[in-house]
Amino acid sequence: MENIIEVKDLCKTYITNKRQNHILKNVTFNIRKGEMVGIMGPSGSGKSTLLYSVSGMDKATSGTVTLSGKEITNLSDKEMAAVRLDHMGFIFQQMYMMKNLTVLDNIILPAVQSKKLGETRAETEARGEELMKKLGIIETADKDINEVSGGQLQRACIARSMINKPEIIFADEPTGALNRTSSNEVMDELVKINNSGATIMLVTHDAKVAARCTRVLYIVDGNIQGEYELGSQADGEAELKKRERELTNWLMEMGW
Amino acid sequence: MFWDILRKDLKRKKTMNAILFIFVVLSACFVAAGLSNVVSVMSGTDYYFDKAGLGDYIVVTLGEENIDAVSDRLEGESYVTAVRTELALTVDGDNISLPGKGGYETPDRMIMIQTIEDSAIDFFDNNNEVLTYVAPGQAYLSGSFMSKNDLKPGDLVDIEIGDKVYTFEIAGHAKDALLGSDFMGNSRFLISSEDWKTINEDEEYKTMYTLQFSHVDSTDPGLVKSKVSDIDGTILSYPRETFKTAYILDLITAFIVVAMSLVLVIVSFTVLKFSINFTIAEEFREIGVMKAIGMKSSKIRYMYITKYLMLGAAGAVIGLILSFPFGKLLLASVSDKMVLGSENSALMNILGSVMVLAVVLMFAYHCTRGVKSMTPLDAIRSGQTGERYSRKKGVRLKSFRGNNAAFLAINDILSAPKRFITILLTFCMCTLLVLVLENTVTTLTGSTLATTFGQPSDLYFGIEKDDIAEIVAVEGIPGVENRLEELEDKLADAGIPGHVYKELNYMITYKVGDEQYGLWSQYGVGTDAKDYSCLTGSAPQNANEIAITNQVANMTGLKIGDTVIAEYGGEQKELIVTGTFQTMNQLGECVRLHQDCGFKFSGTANYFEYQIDFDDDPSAEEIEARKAKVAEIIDCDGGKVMNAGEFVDKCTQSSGPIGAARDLLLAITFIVIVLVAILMERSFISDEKDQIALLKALGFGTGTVTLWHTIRLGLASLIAVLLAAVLSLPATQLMITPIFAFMGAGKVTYEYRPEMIFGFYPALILAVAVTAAYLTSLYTKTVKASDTSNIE
Repeated sequence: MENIIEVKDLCKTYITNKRQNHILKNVTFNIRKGEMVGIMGPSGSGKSTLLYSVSGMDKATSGTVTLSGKEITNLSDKEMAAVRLDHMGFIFQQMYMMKNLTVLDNIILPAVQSKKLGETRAETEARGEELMKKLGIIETADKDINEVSGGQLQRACIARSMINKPEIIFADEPTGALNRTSSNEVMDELVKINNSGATIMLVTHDAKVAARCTRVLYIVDGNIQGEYELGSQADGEAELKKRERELTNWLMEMGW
Repeated sequence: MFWDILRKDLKRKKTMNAILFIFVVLSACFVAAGLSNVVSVMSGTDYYFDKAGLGDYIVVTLGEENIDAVSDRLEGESYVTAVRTELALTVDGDNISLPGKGGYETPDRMIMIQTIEDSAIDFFDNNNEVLTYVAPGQAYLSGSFMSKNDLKPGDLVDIEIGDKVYTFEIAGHAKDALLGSDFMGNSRFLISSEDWKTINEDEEYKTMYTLQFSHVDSTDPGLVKSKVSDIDGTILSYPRETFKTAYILDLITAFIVVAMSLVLVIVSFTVLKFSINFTIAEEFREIGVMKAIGMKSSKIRYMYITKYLMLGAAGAVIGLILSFPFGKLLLASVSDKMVLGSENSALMNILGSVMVLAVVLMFAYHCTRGVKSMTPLDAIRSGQTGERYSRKKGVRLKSFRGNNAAFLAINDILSAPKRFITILLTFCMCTLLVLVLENTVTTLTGSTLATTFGQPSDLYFGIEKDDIAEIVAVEGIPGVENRLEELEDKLADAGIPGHVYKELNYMITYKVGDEQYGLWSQYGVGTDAKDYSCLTGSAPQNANEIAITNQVANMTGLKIGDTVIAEYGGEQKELIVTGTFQTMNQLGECVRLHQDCGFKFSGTANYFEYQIDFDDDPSAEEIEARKAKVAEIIDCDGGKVMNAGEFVDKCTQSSGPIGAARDLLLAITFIVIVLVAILMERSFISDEKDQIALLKALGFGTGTVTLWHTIRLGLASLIAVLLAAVLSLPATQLMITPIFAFMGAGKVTYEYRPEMIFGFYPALILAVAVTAAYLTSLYTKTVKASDTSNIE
C-alpha cells in the first residue's frame, strides 16, 4: 500500500536559556494510506511535537516530511497553511471552536475558506449536515458551542476535520478531555472514518484508545523505540479487549 | 510571595500593563489640564477684567468738546465711587501703512493711539506682565493687528495723522481687556509720552479725533447707564458685564477646549474601565490557582488593587507633569488675547490627577469584586462556566455572501456588541465634537448668518481711503445717499447694475417709563425697513415704528405694541414697537428704525460695509467672479470685497479660532483613536489567542486572520463615525445655539457641508482607526498554529 506520509530523520530542537533541548531525534517512519497510526509514549517523550512537526504546524529543525510524495518541510508558512487546509484534518484535545459561531458554521468554515471542492455554500452546508448526521450530532447544528456536551463538541471537531475530505487526519489526544462514554463514542466514530478509507495519525497515552488503531509507534526521548502492528480494526468487544491486552503487554515490554 | 506574584505579573503582562499605564497617564493629563482650564475659563473674564482694572461702567466719547462730559455728569452721584479717564486719538485704518510690506489687512476700522502712563487700565505683554513703559519711537499693538498682518517686534508701522507721517517700531503685543477681543474689533497703539505730545501738536486733528475713555467705578451700573445715555459724542456706553460678552468668541474656543477635555476624560475613564475589567477577566487562571493554594479572596483582591494603585500613582504623577504644558497648549489660542488663569490653577491640576488615581482605584475595587466568586475550578475550566441563558445573535454562514474574514468580523460584533462599546463610545464622541466644530465653522463662514447683521446681500465692500466717516458726520444721510448713487452709477456703467445700500448705527436715547437707555439703532440707507426679517410681529412698516431685539426687550421691558420716546439731537419722537428681530450687531442690544423715521442724523455713527444686490440675480459662481470686477470699479482693495459668508466671518472673527480648535481636536482624536485601537486590538488578540491558533492550525493564513481583526475594528469604527455624523446636526444645534443666542442670534439655521460631515472627516478618522487596527493585528503573526498545544 502506498505511503501517505514519509518521515525521514526528523529533528526538533528548542533553545531555552541558550540550552538546546532535542525533542525529536532523527525520527523516521511512514504512514500508509488507510492506516490508523497511534503514537504513544510517556509524558515529555515528544509525541505531540512529532504530530505538530509532521503536520507542519511546527517547523522541524531538520529532516523531511513527505505528504503523498510531495515534500512539505520546505514550504513557506502560507503554502503550508494551504496544504493543511486542503489536505489535512485536525482534532485537538481541547475542543477548540470559534466562540461566536454555531456548531454547523464551525464545521463548514474550513470548506468555505478552501473552495477545494468547488461547491456552492448551500452544498457545503448540506455536506456539513450530512457529516453531522453520520456522527449523530445533527440536533446540535444551530446551537452555540457552549450549549452542547464535550462529547458532542469533539464529534463536531471530527466533522470539521473531515469537511475538506483530507488525505490524513491528525488527532492530538482526541479523548483526553472526555469521560469514558464520550471517549468511546468519539473513538467509534474515528474507527468508522478509518474503515471508510481515511488515514489517521493519533497521539494518545490511553492504551484503550491506542488499541483501536491499526498500528502503534512507541516514542521515548524523541526516538521511536518500536512499533506494534495491530492489523485491521477489531471486530466486536471481545477482540477489542484482546487487542488492548496484547498492546498493553507490548507497552510494558517497552518500559511504559 | 505577594510581592513576587505582583512583580512577575507586571513583567509577564508587559504589554497590557504598559497600555493601561499609558491610559492612566493620558487620563491624568487630560483631567488635570481640563479641570484647571474649566476653572480658568469660568473665572476668565472676571479675573482678566479685575487684573486690568476695568470700570463697572465704560463710556467712550469722541470729540475734544466732550472731554470730561461723563465725569461732570456723574459728579456727586452717590452710586459712583470714581471716574477714571484716559485720552486717545483715533486714526482711520486707511491711514496706517506698513513700510516694506505690500498690502496689509486692517481688521480695525479705527485704531486708537494713546500712552501707557496716562492709561486708566493696565495692559499686559504676552507673559501676562503689566506694561509700564514704552520707549520713544516704539509702540505696543493690541488686538489682532499684529497677527492679522504677520507682524513681529522690530517691524515698522507708519501712521498718517493730519499731514504728517509718524513711524513706529513695534515693541510687542499688548493684551487689552477693553478692546482686545476680536469682536470689539479695535486695536490700540500704545506709544511713549514724548511721541504722544508730538502727535497732539496737530490741533485741528486733535479737536476732531480725540477720544476719551471713562471707566466708572460704581455700585449701580444701571443708574450710570441711564444717567449718561444722552451724552453727545458717545460712541460706546456699556456696563462691564457687556464687555464680557465681547469675549464670548474667545470663550467659545475656551469652552470648546473644556468640552474637548471633558470628552477626553470620559474617553480615558471608559478605556480605563475596559482595561482594568479586561486584565482582571484575563486572570481567571492565576486567581483560580491562588485560591487553590489557599490564598484568601481579600488578599488576592488587595494584591490586584495594589498593582493598580502602583500603576495609577506613577501614571497620575507623570500625567500631572504633562498636564501643565498640555493645558497651556489647549488654551493657547485664547490666552493670546486674554490673561487667563486663577489663583488655584495648579491646585486644580493636582486635584485632577488625584481624581484619576481615585477613579482607577474605584474601578479596580469594582472590577475585582468577581474575585470572590472565582473558584479553583476556573483555573481548570479556562474561566468558562458553561452556562448561557440566551442565544447569541449573529449571521449564518449559509446566508452570508462575503468572505470568511468579513463573516467572522460581523458575527463577532453581532454576537457580543458589548465588547465594542468602548470603541463605539470613544470614537463616536471624539468624531462628534470634531463635526460639531466643523458645522460651526461652516455656519460662521456661510451666508445664513448674514441676516443677523442686516439685509443679506450679493456682495459687501469697503472703499480704499473712504471718506464716508466725514460724509456721515458733516452731510448726514443725504451725503450717504449721494455716495450710494455714485456707486450704483459706476456699477451700471461697468455693465453690472445693482442696488447699493449701507447700514448705519446711531446711538439714540429711549425713554421707557422713568428709565432711559442709550441704544444703537440700525438705520438702513437705501433699504426698506419692511424687508428685514423679524422673529415675532412685523418689521417697521411706518415712520413711527421700530423693531427691537429680545435683549432690548428683556433690558427695557418693552413688548410689541408698546410705545417709547426716542430722543436724538434734541428731537423727540414717539415710536411703536411692532416686532422683534435678532442681530449679532452690538451683541444684540439694538433697535431697527424705519427709513422715514425723520431724525436729522448727523455726527458720529458707526456703519457696516457697502452692500450690493445685483439686478440680474447672478449665481453664486458669477458673484464670486464679480468680486474682482467690483474691486476694480470701486477702486477698493480686492480683499475688501466679500460675499455674505466672508462678511459674516469678518464680523464675528471666530471661524479662525474655532477652526484651529477643530484641527487641534482632530489631532487629539487621531491620537486617542490610535491608542484605543491598539489597546482594544491587543486585548482582542490576547483574548482570542486560542481561536487565532485554531484558524492557523486549520489552514487559515495570517492574511485572513489580520483581515478578520481589521474588518472587525473597522466596522465598529465605521458605526461610530456614522453615528457621529448623524448626531452631529442635532448636537450642533444643542451645543452651539446657546452660544449664538448669547451673541444675539437665538435662531440660527446651521449650514453644513455633507461631503465633510459624511465624507471627509469620517473617512479620515476611519482611515486612522483601520490603519492602527491593521498594524496592531499584524501581531497575530506571533500566534502560531502549534500554540493550540499550549494555550492556557
